[in-house]
Amino acid sequence: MKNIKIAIFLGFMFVTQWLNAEALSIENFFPEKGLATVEMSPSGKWLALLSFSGEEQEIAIKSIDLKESIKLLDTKTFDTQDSTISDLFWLDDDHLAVQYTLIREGTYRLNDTKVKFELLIVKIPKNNAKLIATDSKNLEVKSVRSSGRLVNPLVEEPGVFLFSKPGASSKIYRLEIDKLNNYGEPLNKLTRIDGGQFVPANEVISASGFAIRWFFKKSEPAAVLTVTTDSKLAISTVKENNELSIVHAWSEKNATDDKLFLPIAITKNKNEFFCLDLNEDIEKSVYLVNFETQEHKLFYQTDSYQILDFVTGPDQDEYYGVKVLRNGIIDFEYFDDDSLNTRNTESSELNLVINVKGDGRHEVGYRVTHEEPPHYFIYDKTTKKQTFLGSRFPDLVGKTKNTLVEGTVSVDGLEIPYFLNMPRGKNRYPLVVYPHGGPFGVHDDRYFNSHVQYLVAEGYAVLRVNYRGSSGYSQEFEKAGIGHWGDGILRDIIEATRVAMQNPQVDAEKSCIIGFSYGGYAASKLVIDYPDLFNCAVSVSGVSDLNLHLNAHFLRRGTVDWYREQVGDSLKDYDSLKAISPLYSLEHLTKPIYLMHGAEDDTVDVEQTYRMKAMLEHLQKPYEIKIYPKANHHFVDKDDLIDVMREMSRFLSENISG
Amino acid sequence: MIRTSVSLTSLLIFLLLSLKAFSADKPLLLTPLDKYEFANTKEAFAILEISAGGTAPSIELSKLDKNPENYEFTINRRQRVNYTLDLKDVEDGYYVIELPEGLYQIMKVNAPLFNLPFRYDTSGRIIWRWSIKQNYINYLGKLNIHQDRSEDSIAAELMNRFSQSLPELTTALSKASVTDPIRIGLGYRDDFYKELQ
Repeated sequence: MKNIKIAIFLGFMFVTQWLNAEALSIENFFPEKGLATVEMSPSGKWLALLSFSGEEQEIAIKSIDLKESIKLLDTKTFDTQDSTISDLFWLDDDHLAVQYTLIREGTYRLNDTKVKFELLIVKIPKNNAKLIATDSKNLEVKSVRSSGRLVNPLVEEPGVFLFSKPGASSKIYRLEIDKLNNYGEPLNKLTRIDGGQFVPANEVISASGFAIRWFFKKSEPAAVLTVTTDSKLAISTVKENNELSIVHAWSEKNATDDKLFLPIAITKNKNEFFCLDLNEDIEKSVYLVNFETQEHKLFYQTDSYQILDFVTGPDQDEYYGVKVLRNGIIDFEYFDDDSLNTRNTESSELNLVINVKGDGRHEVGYRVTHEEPPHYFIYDKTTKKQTFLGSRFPDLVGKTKNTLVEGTVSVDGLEIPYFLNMPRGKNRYPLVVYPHGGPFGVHDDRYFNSHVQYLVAEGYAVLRVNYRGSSGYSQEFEKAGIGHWGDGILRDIIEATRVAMQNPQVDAEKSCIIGFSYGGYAASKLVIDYPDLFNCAVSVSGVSDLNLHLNAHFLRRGTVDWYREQVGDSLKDYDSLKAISPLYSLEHLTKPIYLMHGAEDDTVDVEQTYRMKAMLEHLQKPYEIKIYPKANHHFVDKDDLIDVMREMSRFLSENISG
Repeated sequence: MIRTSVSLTSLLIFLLLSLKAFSADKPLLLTPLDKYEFANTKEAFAILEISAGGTAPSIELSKLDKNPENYEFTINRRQRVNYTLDLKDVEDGYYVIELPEGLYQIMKVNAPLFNLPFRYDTSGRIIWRWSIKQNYINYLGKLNIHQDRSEDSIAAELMNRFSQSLPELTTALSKASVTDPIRIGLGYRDDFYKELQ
């Protein structure tokens, strides 16, 4: 009887696991649709939800109890050309300001494509405080036609907001919604543009020079970043009498500085700002900079393509996260309260309150763990009830269950952190070693990663290593990677692999190393050098010939200098760089290798992979190759990325699973 | 007296013209790879893949050094333009250029559009160099001058596409019964083909 029960239980477990596995497809890990962000109205009664669907975005309005819901508008509602919704602001409970960024195609054969910003103020269609589904043509929409930006919604004063108008002398004006023109309405002799509100009587503050950005503390302007009349960039703070005092000005000599900080948000501390480093190839790092003391420290780094802006609270000196560009869409990432120093000791959960308004009964929360995808929810403090709002990965919520083992391994006196994600269960799983790209200024974190989750769902244990040179820990750790492209960094990956292989749930006999970019380099180099550890390798957009990489046609002068310092000088170090190039040691390759590359890659040239192909053919070694004609380094097109991951999975299953 | 002045003026003009003729940059000839008579080659020759859009693109070259492998050559003075390569109406494909042995710098890419004189300064950049060696087939890369451009700049690149071009070049050269060895003739050391053999 007991055996029957066990058999039934095991059968049930098998069916459940099979159903779960069947329920997930690769498209679920790289979805077309998802929720990007949520904004609560000032009274806390309404929510604006910004979702993406392919390349389109859509705004929906819901009541806080989620009983009422309407689609308000989408990216195509007011413009037929390419446009994105780059910001949402509740001005009051009846008005939502939507900042559109419009792409205007330029003259034939002149790529003078221009970006235009358009601010629309949409009245939320309601009747007796109930939402009414309304066709976009019938929405009441006002617009600000004068160039400039909404800089503060003044949520405590319904019907008004602050708008910045840049010029030789930049000013902030206080505008009334009701006085603005209707969107698209032709002007006549009796209609004044924007209701004639850009007059001295509505002026709040004025700055000499072209204001790039205003910073606020609550509703009061606190600082401004300007380009002065003599073309200098300056950051000024606002004194009590509304006069401005320059805290820091950039001059030509700053152009050679190691870091060139551009303020993007103000902190509560005097003269302290969150900044991006303009000398970073693509902005991925946020620094805390005190322009008075000239001190700075790294605050946050993203693994998305680029940081676009900061996400601040209504008082604008509360900071939540960053707006990023990921896979071609605008997305949001939120900060861990304790920043990055606690990376190794905190639990693998990020649980944040990002919106709390009105009577404070409801909170909009954001949660992500190592296995749960990032998602938004409403928390009712009275009933203690949590209600799911949406996720970037809507089909994965509650379905990606796995175990995370975090640890460090000592290599050359450095503590090298690693993350090992494994399916839940007591089986032994083939190991996929997945070093990140970069190698410098990039890191893996413990939170949900769709690539890792896909591989775990396919039945693999996945090891990621924050080798020396990775960002997110300390500047010393990052600098420890300099000059170690082909030795120290690879040692870190190998030592972490050896530790992971000792885990009883890892099947050390079945292991493959895969990676993108630098990770692809590491994969092809290590499968050659350590055939006893790895059964196969996949290199996507990988470097194979270091000297060719350092002479790539797309490298800017500054990037060449950077590589010279971080990696080596092709003129002087040719032979040592050749020695660490996998292309020139392929005669020792004994394991299957799969090479993939985007033909439009302008970070690692596709010639790198074609050289591998030519050499492998010459040496008569087996290999697989796939070139994606339209793909760039980041495989922005979702179909290409899905194909890469699907091909990777097939290759892994042929070589290490079963 | 008048006659003497006229003579002096004529002499001066003659001298100036002669000087100009002497210093004039030499136009380089492009011959499609499949039409080139390899047997008649006197200079070292090189193969360039071209994809040049626009109304009248061209490039300007300076010879830096007689030694084609003096890759560490640094420019410390203003270079005179020795050669120009007119790319107007040149169809996409592989072309042969005859050039004396040496190290060359592409100084400038000109890509005018209507009456807008677009130029791209490439001087001093190693990735815009050629290395030509006598008795070799020097592969010079793929020169790409984009037809579309922004308001104030053009997009042009000299790409190392050796491994992608090799099968086609090998076939074409074998058809022409050329036996000279191939070498990668971009302006930096590149051992790939040596290792591939």
